[in-house]
Amino acid sequence: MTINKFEHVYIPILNDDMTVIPKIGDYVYKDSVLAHTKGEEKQYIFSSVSGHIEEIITKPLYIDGIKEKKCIVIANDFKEIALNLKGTNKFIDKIEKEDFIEKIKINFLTDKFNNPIYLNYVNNVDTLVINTCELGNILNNFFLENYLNNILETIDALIEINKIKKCYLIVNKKNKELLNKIEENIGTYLNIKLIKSKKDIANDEAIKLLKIKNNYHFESLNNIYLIYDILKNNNFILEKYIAIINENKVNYVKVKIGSSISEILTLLNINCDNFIVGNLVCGVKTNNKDIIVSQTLDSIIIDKQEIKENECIKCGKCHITCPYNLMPIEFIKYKNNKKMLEKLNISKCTLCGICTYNCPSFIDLNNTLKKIKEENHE
Amino acid sequence: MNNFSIHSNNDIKKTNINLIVSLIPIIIYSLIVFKLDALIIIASGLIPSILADFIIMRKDFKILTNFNLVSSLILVLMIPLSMPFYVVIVLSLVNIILRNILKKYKINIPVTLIIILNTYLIISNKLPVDYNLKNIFNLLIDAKTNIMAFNAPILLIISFIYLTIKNNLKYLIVLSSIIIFALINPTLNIDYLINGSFIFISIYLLSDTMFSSMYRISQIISGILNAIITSILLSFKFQNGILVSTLIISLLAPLIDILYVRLKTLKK
Repeated sequence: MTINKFEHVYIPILNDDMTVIPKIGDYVYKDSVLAHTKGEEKQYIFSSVSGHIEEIITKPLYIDGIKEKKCIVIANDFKEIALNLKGTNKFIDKIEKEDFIEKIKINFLTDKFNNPIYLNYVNNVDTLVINTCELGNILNNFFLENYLNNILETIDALIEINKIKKCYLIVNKKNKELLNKIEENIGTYLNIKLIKSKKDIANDEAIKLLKIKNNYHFESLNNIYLIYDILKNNNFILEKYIAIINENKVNYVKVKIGSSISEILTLLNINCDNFIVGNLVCGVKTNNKDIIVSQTLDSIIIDKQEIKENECIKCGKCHITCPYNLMPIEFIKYKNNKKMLEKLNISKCTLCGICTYNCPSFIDLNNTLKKIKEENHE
Repeated sequence: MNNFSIHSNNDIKKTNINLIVSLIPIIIYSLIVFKLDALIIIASGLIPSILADFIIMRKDFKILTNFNLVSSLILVLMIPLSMPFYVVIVLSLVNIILRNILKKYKINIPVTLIIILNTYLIISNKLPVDYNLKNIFNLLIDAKTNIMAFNAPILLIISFIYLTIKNNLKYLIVLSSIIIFALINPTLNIDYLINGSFIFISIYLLSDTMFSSMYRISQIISGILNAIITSILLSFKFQNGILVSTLIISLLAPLIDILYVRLKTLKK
């Protein structure tokens, strides 16, 4: 399902120090450059629609938490006039590494923490890991069910282009239908090693499972799908899929980058006061419907059930299940003691959400730790 | 208000269900062997405790969202079989009331109550004839004949495996405690291992979710300390040795955790 009927889109300027090119009132085409980073290594923000620029305002985005960013407001004329002519590449694995890096760099393709992923490939990755059963990621199944061949082709291209030594595709073996489908299709891709996991796992758990130590890179299926579009169709990142979960029903919708969540929910006839943006395990609950779809937003969860937080029962599951054997409860205990937090290795905490997922008392450790990390970083 | 939308199914309710399921073979076995006697003691322990919990919690009452029911069940299993049913009722009620009053203080109430009961029985020479303090796990062991003693560890090992698979047990405490206990003085301690009382207390009381150490290393330290303290107390023929040691370790658990965290951070 594609939704692109919105009269206004709000294109987020992801870095505060980016230079905005067009002026208010200017006409921009679909895929016009709206802003770029300073310096030689330029990364660009493209327009996802054609129309006139109305204003630049601040809007909330989901980038590892809800953050306010400047957005360029474009009045959509629905003409979808594109500036650049595009062709298709038959063999994406034959693309030169420099071209590949350039393409993903200019598209400002980032990981969930808004870090540009091209840097990982510049630094010669040895091991590429694709965790299709990432805990709390509802979008992965959609990509595998609908775009499996494109995904496998792109992974193979990533291996060829970047001379990657090892590549692991982790699949939950309980999802037998999907596993069979992958096993049927993976045969010709000899460089991709299929790893069957007993359950959904966080990326940090996958590191433990695979016993990899350094020079590895996790690529999300969302990014692989976008890379396919960039390499195969020479497209820019103007649209993306998001999963909208409402009363256990999942809608996968393709929306323009810069679409407003309130308009998406209205169009889908979804009424709610609160919703969760981001991952199912470590997302953020909010009532702010002004949030704009950015590259890092994967899902919107309308969760009407209120989960009551109980007192810590000292079961130690947060420590035992932590991939790095950290002590989340001690982080909370010493939240105002920066030295102690450092000694307890808070920097190793990747906010993977495993502790929150396993806590029998439903303590929202992940968001508490996120706040502690942010406060101590300042 | 929580932010997450999915959660592992290992919540407090599931933890309680797993603990009860792990006790089912033991309860069934005791019902087969002791028939009505066992049924009376279990019913006299559980029914008043559920009612008391309901009266105290009122609107918030949900049978498995706290550990009161499991705690009552474990308490019942340690009460001498020949105790009058009203003693069982009183102990169960006291257990629930104290657990609710002393919520903030990490005191293992069932252990404390059984120590008090045993001490009273010893001092007043009212120890039931079929009650052997070595066999604290009374519903399973007929102390008079001792015929079923060897079945206790087998059933407990099944419970241990079940709880470990279900991620419901701080198994490091149990293992370290039993191994060290067996190594310290095999001739002295073998009785307690064979009749299952030490294993039962290690699984259900020493590694109690709320009253034991949280971290891997501190769990091992707790287990080792428990084995040492128990062995010392038993070598002095202190009859309540296993329970007193368990109570000491329960009280020391937060301190062991703090010391472990301090030691861990001291290195850096």
